[in-house]
Amino acid sequence: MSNPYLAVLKIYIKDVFAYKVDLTLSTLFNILKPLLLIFVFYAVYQFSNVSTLKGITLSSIVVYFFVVGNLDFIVAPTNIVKHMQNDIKEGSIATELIRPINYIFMPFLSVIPADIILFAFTTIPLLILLYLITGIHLNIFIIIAFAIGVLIAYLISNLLSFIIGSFSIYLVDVSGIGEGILWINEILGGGIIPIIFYPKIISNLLMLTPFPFMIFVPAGIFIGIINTNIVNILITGIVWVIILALISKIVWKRVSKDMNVVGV
Amino acid sequence: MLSKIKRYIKIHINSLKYDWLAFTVYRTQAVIWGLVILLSSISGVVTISVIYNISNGINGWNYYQVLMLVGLTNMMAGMFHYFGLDGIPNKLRNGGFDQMLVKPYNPIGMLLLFRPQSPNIITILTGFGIFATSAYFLNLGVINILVILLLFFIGVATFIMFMLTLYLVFYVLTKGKSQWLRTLSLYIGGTASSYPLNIFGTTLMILFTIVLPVGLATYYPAGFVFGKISLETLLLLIIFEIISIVVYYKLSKWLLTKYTSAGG
Amino acid sequence: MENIIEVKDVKKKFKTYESGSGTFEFFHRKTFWKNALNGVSFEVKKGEIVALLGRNGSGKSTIIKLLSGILHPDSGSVRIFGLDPWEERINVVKDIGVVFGSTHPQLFWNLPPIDTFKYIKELYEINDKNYNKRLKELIKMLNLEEVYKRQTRQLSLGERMKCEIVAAILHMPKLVIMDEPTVGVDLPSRISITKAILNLRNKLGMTFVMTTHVVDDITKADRIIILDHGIKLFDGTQEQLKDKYEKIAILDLYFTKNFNVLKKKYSKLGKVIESKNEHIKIEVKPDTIKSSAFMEIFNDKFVEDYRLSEPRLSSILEMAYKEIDKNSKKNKQ
Repeated sequence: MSNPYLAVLKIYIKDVFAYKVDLTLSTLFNILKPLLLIFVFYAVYQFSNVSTLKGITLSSIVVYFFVVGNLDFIVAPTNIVKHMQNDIKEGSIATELIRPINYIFMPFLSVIPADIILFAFTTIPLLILLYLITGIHLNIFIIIAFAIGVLIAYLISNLLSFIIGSFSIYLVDVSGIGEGILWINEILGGGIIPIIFYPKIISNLLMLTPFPFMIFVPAGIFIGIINTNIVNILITGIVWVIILALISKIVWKRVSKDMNVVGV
Repeated sequence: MLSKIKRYIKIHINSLKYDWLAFTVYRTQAVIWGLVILLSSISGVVTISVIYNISNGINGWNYYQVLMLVGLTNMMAGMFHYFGLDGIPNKLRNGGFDQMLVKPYNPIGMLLLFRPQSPNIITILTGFGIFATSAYFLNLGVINILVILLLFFIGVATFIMFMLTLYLVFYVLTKGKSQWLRTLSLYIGGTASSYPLNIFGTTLMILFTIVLPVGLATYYPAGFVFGKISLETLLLLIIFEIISIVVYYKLSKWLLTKYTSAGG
Repeated sequence: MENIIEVKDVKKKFKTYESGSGTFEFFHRKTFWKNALNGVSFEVKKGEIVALLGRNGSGKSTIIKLLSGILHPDSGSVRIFGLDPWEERINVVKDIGVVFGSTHPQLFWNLPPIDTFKYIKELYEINDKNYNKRLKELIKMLNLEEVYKRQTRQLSLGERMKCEIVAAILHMPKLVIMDEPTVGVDLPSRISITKAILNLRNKLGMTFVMTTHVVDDITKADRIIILDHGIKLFDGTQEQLKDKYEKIAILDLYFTKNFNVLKKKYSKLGKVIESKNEHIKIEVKPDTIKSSAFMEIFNDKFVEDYRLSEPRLSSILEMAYKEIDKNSKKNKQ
């Protein structure tokens, strides 16, 4: 079978293993950062001598950051931006553009193998372990909602990355733009601060944007902070996925037209 | 010796000038870059602001004291990028270091000083702004500020020499890109150094002081001036720092003899 | 004359990996050592222009890196101006200029070349008077008047390469090392580069060592060194190289009829290297062919045309490489 998309996918699976040292260690350290935040919040709860902050217990926060650490593998997607930047900066976009493949899929194909491998071999086992240790309340509805939430998180964060990455054709030096997406993930998405901890106005406003769907929504569903209106929230998420996909398409169309003008 | 230092500083300033010129050739790019860097640098501020808004704080440190740690951390991260540490594996891997080796200067001096990443001055300046703000609200005298800055610079020098050595060790061992080192140093280390180290428990505190020395530039200088670190501890650390810098320098120089260019 | 470069029995090997083509074969990759240089010796005198030839993987680039103090040999010795370029790197490279071709440019990509030149001026502490004088001369010599104030990324490869050369020799090094300076460069640029090299050598006594694939560059060199598989195969002038293969000339014969009979008849003259129906190419040794044989060809009514040609430099190299391959096959057996 000679599907060109499959061929590309195969190459990137090889790529994952070629950098296995990098991959393993990056994976390890990704989970460590949210774990450090557990220490921070432990100290906060201790010093304030309270059992709940904004109605959230310390043990919920601990589980929250475990889940964040886990999700970060797949939803802290600097890789798409990196892929596009490399393509554009080193000029390899030219070789990718002449292939019988729509370029818009290339960055996604480049990250999917690593993400699936990480999800299957790290995220799922760790989440099961977490469930067994903490005895957190889960039912089949929450599990399905969480699964959909993770898929939405994955799509939204990668689409955002793609949109940001597209703009790198207007930049001659692009290193560091990837930090932007991480910042969105951490501050607006709930990666460092659960959205609920923000002042009410800010957290309400944020919930109207696609950003909390990157981390806060799936993690919140898993630990039970989000327990009402789950269906509505997920539908909003799906609507955001569709909107962002359309924006990506429009942006890429525009950007690829400009490519020659910019002289990439 | 002095004239040698003068020459290196002169060339560094020259390199800086041209790097900055190259960065500002494209204005849109410079603005976007600046914005992203600015956002990334204030994420620490957002985090601790939220924490202090909903609780009594962390371990008896007041808001501005922790804010000072955030500022120092930003300055340290900015310097890490400014001296181009995360670009070192690439320079060595693809043979770009060749171009440096044929210039009549010390290779380590060239690696760190001759290709500064000027945009990161924005991070350093933002960090300094945060530092200055907190110093103002804490009513710190000039002498205290100078003591903190002096200790900070010794700490940063130790950290940078440590990271340089680490990058070289992994270049020699794996010839890989070692991107995980960045995750380790900036995401893990940067999170740790934004908070009073003693909240992480003794083991991690020692780890972030000696093994991954991020605390040397932030927690100890500020903690000493705030009266939370004893003079004896501080003096011991300074001795440790000076020895470390010498050892890391010698080690780096020896590791560079293992450079194989792009040949192997 | 004094020796600028002395290379004695230099060996250098690299570790490389071979990984399979299967998706998961990465896990059992093989490590093996590749000999880049296998005992190479040569000398270069002051003011010489030396061309280093060899196919990819012959060890040319490794030599360049050893000469410029980037690599250290596993065994043997390298001396530049009598110094070890690795041990005394800083002292040696002060008087060396290196052009790395298009692989590791030293020009700032987003700035005009003039900014790089100014930077180089600081780096090598060139005083204003010398800098201005040299820059003016070099820019004139390489026809860069229209170019050096434009952004580097907008320049053509040839223009960029000429600017790279200026950047490498602004500090007036005694020795200039170039790694494939003319690959992909257009003819006019190549000509002005060659002219500049000859000019600098004649005026200032600069010594040049360059690797190249381009035959035109070779013809300007005083000496040619051919490397293959890390071994020096030839070291001498162009004339000596031609001499070595001079005994061989190519005889083209065009027949009108009786092809097979005639082919058989004339293949006695030498080795047939190409054979179509009406045309054969024979490698012959002109000094051993009797004039009667030529008379025979001349009088043969089925020979429509014939031509005896001396091989050009490019075909000499081709022949040399063929010979190498044959010998290495023999050695393996």
